[in-house]
Amino acid sequence: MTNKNLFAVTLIAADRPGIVAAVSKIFFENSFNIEDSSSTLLQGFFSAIFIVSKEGVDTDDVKKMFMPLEKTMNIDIHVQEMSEAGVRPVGEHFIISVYGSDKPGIVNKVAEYLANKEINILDLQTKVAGSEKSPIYLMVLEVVIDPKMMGTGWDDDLKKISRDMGTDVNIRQIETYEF
Amino acid sequence: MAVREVLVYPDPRLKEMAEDVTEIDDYVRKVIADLTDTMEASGHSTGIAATQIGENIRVVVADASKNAKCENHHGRLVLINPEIIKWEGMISFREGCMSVPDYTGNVNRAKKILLRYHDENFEQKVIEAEDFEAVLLQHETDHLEGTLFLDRVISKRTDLFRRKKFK
Repeated sequence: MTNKNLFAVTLIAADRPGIVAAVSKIFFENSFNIEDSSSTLLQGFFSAIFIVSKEGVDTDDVKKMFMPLEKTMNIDIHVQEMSEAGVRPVGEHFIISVYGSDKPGIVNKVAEYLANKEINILDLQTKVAGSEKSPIYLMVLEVVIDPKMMGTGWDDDLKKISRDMGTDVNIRQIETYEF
Repeated sequence: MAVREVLVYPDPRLKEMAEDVTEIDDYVRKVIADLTDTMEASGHSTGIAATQIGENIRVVVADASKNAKCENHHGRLVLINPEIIKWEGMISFREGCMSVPDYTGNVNRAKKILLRYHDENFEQKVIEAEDFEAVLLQHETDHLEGTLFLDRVISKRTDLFRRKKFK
């Protein structure tokens, strides 16, 4: 059995320069590997998830390492030990864009349909754009379609859902080539 | 004639600028043969640059017809001193590379290119390539400049949600 433990370190903080530098300094000085990470600015809040690994430490040890930073930079940091990862979905990748005037339920209707069909979402981003008077809602998803789902009309179903909501939808396949 | 080892990043030779070929000699012929054998041996590969086998000359072997989905192509090409002289349109692909295993990234490329090169007999030719073949040839000629697709990856997030600034 390996002692290499995986932790998810997540933080959301009012944006300012130096957040990544401060967090990564703690990882570096304590010999963590950053295995995977994703960060972006959401409504003025810098939101980050780091999946890190280190041998022979537990969640409390990791939390302690971040305590000084939580005080000095006033950032809430959440540490969680990761259990076994899920199965990596295999199939064709598609980008689905759904957009239109802002109304409740756009994300939910699309996500519920995908869930019922057991379609895996790899990436999801939403934004409200446009003017305050007429906001536009944008949702962009990357999904993986199982080979046996191909040609079963899932894309037509999504187009119908979008039409019923009064939004526009665009579905396109992502072609990946190794050269 | 041999199947050669494909260099994998961070091998520094992948970041070198390849040198122009001035004549077709035995060395150049051997590189062409080795590139062909190495490309064929990898099965799915549709192109390979001399840089990828550690030979620092401007030679590429490519065969877009190996991609069953590719309709417009010139079959197997031996490109010596290839140079893109015209770019048109834009196409988005998710690329991977034998020299950068286990990573793919979104890259924007020209949809149509005009490529000038010398063939195996050192005769100058110009071809127009489109879509998949155009992307393939841009990817391979990039190798000769020490450029990997990693140098051209665009972030999905900024790509999708970048705000245009109007004056």
